[in-house]
Order: sequence, then C-alpha cells, then structure tokens
Amino acid sequence: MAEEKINLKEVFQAPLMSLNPVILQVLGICSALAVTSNMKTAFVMSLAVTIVISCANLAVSSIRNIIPGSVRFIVELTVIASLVIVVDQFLKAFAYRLDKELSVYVGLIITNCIVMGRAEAFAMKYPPLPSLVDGLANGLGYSIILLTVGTVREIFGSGTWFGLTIFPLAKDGGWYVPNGLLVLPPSGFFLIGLFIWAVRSSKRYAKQVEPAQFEIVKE
Amino acid sequence: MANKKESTVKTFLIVFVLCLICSIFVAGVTVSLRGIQEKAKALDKQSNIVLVSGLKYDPDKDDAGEIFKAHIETKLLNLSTGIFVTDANIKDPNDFDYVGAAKKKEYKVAIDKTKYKLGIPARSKIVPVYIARDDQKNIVSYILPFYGQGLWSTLYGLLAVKADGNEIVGINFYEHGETPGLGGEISNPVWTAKWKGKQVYLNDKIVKVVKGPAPAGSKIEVDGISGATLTGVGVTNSLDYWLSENGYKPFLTKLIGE
Repeated sequence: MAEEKINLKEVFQAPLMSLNPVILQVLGICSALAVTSNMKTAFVMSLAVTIVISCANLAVSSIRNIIPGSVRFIVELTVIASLVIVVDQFLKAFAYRLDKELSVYVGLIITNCIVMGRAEAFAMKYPPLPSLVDGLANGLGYSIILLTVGTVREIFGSGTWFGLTIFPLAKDGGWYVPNGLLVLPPSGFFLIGLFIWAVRSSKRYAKQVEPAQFEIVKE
Repeated sequence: MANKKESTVKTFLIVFVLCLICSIFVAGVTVSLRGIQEKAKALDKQSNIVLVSGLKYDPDKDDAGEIFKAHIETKLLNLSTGIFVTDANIKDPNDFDYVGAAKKKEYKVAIDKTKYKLGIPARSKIVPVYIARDDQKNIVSYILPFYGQGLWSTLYGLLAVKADGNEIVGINFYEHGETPGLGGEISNPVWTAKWKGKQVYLNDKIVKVVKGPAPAGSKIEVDGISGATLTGVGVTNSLDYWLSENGYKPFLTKLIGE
C-alpha cells in the first residue's frame, strides 16, 4: 500500500474546526445533547471520548496490517468496547458520582460514530503516529463543541459554571431567573444548529457549505 | 487489504488472539480497581444516608464521610422483634450486606409471595438501621434501608423517619436502573422532597405513591411521576412490605408508643 506523505500539522488542525466531527460531519450528536446540561459531565465525557478515540486509533492502526478485511468492523469494535469498559471502570473508581450522572452515556461511547468512523476511515489506512494525532484532534474537536454548548447551557440554564455561581439565582435571593429550556436536551439541538450556522456563514469555513440538492420551486 | 489472501483459519486465529488480549486487559483493570470502586460506592452510600437524614449537609462540600462518622450510628435491628441486636459474626454493622444475607440460610426469612408483590423471595432477618443525631445528641431521624423491584431493576432506598416513629424526614434511592428521565426521576430531589412531612401510617394505611397528583393535604399519599407509573407502583409495593408487620412495623410501633 503506497502511503502518501502525511502532514501531521494538517491532520491535527483540520478536525478542530474545518473538518469538525460534530459540526461538519454531524456525528456524535446523541451524547452531545445528553451530557451538556452542565460542565462537569460535559468535561468528563469529552475527556473520556478523547481518550477512547486516541487509544482506539493507535491500537487499530498498529494492527491494521494483520486485521482480516472480512471481519475488520468486529475487530475495531472489540478494541473500542474494551477501551470504553476500562474508562468506565476508572470513572467508577475515581468519580463515582459523576459516573452515576453520566449513567448509560459512558457505555454508549462504544456506539459513538466518531470513534468507529475514525478507526475505519483513518486508522485502518495510516501508521500509528498520525492515527494517534488524528484521534486526539477529533476528540478535541468533539470536546470544543461539547464544552461550548455546556458553557452556554449551564450558565443560562442554572446560573453556574462548573458548579460555581456566575449569576445568583432569584430563588436564592439573586436576580437571575434561569431559562428552564436550556436544561432540557432539545436546547442542545438549537445550540449545535446555531453553531453550525455560525461556522458555515464565516468566510473562512465557507467550503463547508454544500451545494443545494434541490431547488425550491417559487411560484 | 480486502484482496489479500485470507484463510478462514487465520481469520479465526487472529480474532481469537485479539479477543483474548482484550479480555485479559479488561479483566485486569476491573480486578485491580475493585477495591477503590467499593470504597467509592460505600462513600456514596454514606453521603446518601447523610443526605436523607435531615442533618445539615452541603453536597458540594463532599464531607459526607466525616459527618457520617460523627453523627450517625449504625445498629443491627431484628425486624420481627423490633429490638436492636448484636451478631457475633458481624464485627462492623456498616460492613453487613443485608441484601446478600437474604440468600444465606442462617439469615433468610421468606417473603409471602401471595400477599406482597415486591418481587423479592426473601429478606435478611436482621438489617442495619442508621441513627442520626445532632450536635446535642438528640435523635434527628432513624434511617431505614429497604429494597424492591421497580419496573426494570431493583430499587435500593432509604427512608428516614423522625424519632416519633411516624413522620417522614426524607426518602432516597441510592441505587436503581430505571430509565433516566422517567422512572429514574425517583432519585430527583424535587420529587423526593414531596415525601417530607408525610406520615408512615394513618388509620392502618401505609404511605404510598399514587398515579397523578396526590389529593391536596393528604398525609399518606405522594404525587406520582408522569411517565413512571410502574416505578411508582414498585416503590409502593416495596414500602407495603417493608413497613408492614413483617418489616419495620414492630420497631416503629415501639417508637410511636414511647
């Protein structure tokens, strides 16, 4: 297999914004909606996903030449599932209450399309080092979105940031009446939607705008 | 890769070796972390006990372990007599696993399946009861553990009752596997707060969760959670048993009588 020369800097920078897995590829949305109502869970989830993608990419890439093509999905999934269980075990040991809050979502990292997508699209084709960088960058790209959405949701939904009071709530004698919608999952949808719109409207990422598939008929 | 020659035997061999490596890795991590996990779980249970006890506690401070040590005493209760007992085999009542003891023949007490629908065949004859005292050593509450089948999972709960044996201080479910957002709302503080001030018994009836809102002013009924009727039924069935004469009633009757 002829491997073209890889620009590591490019591999690292692209997934952060211009090829961001959440806003360009719209992958990993399920967990992005579920765990972003406060920063603590969003941060732990970002960390967990970044670790899993990086390690999974590294592992899959190092055995890519011996993985039988006919069962490669199963092999990738075995590696990913093992890593997720290990991450979950660590959380149970060192952040028991957060693990309880994240409940099923840690286990669901196994089915996070970003992890599987990077293993199949990148790690199967490139050597370990670029794969590790690619995994790390995609994890960070996911984290950027999660933490941004989490920041907006926690500050305006609960008046706090990482549990620290930013806006004193009216019910505790302050002035801020929180927006209840932001605590609920649908607000994650709105925020990610706005994020995608904002990024695609900027000149720098104009390439992300896809040509229209249909023309809207005007009467 | 796909056009490389692959024999079935080789494929099986590679997958087998990979699975073996992965399982050794996972098992190794799980076993080596077990001790720390159990400590974390015990601390979580202690913080739930402190939370439900009615003692002053700020969950953000994370000092549940110290409050538990200073203000809470664990005693073993013989349910059928309602008297605190000691057991030669149990050195520290905090280490006594009353759920596991229900399977051992020296502790096992069968539950009448036709009468009670909590979905559990037997319970332990002795259970740990937590006594919360304030700084002046006055009893704030007795915390009674209980469990029963919810919709998908076993609900493990704690019910805190005032020293008068009838007024509820709080309820808390520290472990369950109900659907987040629906049945999982039983651990939402907004809902558990509705239990405060209710009564355990009123005219021979036991406190229960109703479907929909509870009648205004009712001392013995708690609002149901919408979308979680069956979990609510599970809570009611569990309390029906644990607060009956087969459960904590002999003990609570004594408190009420005092």
